[in-house]
Amino acid sequence: MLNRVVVTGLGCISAAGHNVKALTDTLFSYHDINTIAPVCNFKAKKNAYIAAEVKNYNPSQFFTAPQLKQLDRFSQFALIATQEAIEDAKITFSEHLAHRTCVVHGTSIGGQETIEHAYQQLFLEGKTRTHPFTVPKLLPSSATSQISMKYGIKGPAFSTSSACSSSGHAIAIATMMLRCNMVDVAIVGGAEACITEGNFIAWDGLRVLSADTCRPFCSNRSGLVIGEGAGTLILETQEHAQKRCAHIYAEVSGVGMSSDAHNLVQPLVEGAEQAMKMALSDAKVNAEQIQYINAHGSGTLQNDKTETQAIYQVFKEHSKKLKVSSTKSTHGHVLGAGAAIESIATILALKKQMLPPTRNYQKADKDCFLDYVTNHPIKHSVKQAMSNSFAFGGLNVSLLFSTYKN
Amino acid sequence: MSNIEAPILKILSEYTNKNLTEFAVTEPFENIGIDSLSLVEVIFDIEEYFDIVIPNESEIADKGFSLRCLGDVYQLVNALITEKE
Repeated sequence: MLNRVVVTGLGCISAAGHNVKALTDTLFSYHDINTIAPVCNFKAKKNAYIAAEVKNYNPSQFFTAPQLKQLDRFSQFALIATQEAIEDAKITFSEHLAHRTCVVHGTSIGGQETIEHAYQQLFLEGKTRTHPFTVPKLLPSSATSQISMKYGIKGPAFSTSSACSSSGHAIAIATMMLRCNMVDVAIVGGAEACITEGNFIAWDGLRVLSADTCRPFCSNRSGLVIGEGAGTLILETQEHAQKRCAHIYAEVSGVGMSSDAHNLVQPLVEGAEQAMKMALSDAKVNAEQIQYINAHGSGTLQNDKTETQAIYQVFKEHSKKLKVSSTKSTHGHVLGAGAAIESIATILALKKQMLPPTRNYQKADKDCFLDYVTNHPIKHSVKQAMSNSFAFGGLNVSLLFSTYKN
Repeated sequence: MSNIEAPILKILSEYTNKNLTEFAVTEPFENIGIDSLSLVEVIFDIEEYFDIVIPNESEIADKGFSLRCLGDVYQLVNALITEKE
């Protein structure tokens, strides 16, 4: 018999604020809160110049100067979100529990700021060497290492990297470890800090960045808006959470993963469809039992059309009753942290019995024909909700969360 | 010697919360909050500041120096600057 897996802690930093409360207030606000704005980190030179940056972020409020020397911006975000999640879960790690806990934290790109700073010194400023900790700082696994070191976690610890599904895969794989009793507790999520000049120009080269704002599923949608930040969730076996009388937000009821095996950038309906079907099958629920999907909804022409078709293929007639939204219109496309932040948004929807909207929505698109929650949150009964992440390279994850019943 | 002490103290102070002026220059680094990881960065910063190259541990030992405390660093940096000049 496999263990049931529950969520007992949430932590987040994003353009929507420095913690889960700020994210909640922004996602479920009846008023528009401006989270997408011209890039501040550098002067954008090309067509696209907007991003969902973490606002009013002063690293020295969170870390000492010696700590900052060893922390890329994405690791800083990972530690901030993780601290909030651990405090929220009210969990302390005894020597025994430290060995029964895993850290699985994803990132798409890793220490981009460190890489670009080092390259600038080497190739523009005439330096002949880089700072000695350039390599350990830029490693995509460094955030995971920093988390395990800070909390003394001695169980399995590794990073997942699957572009925009990275933290989705982190949650999925940790759920499996919990189910099969390999660990009792999992610190999972993802972090990204990719709004750097070089990376931004590279993304702009793909012609997928919006020059105005993120308006998923809208006929005049103009592309994605890159975001930054981190999301961390504390997962536990039901038994472990109950023993310590932990507050349980939700249950991770199903995970689905698939690969398009098709194209580096073009999504395929079948791949997304398979991931969603697998999550439903894993949770042993019918399509009709799902009330809400927090879509991948990146705001690109191709993704939103493909995802709409895939959702229709899975949910058929029920798709008329199914509510769908993309919270990327609020926190931006946070790449490797996206699935974690969107999982938190999905769990908050279950908790509040409210659905966060796709903001900036203007005109309906004949290719995006689902029942989207647009511009304002709505009250809605929701017991089972799905979070989709469909990454470049056709790497798909669908996660199913449900309200917790003993 | 005093020309090098202030910048070295400033560099070291970025890696520890302890007040370095309260310790003897012979106090081992581990007692003043500088671990081996920080020492790698300290060495890098000193090299950058003084435009010198601090050799690896065995070469330092061959020359009769070490890097166990602040006093060791003063002596070594002084020697390397003199050598450079």
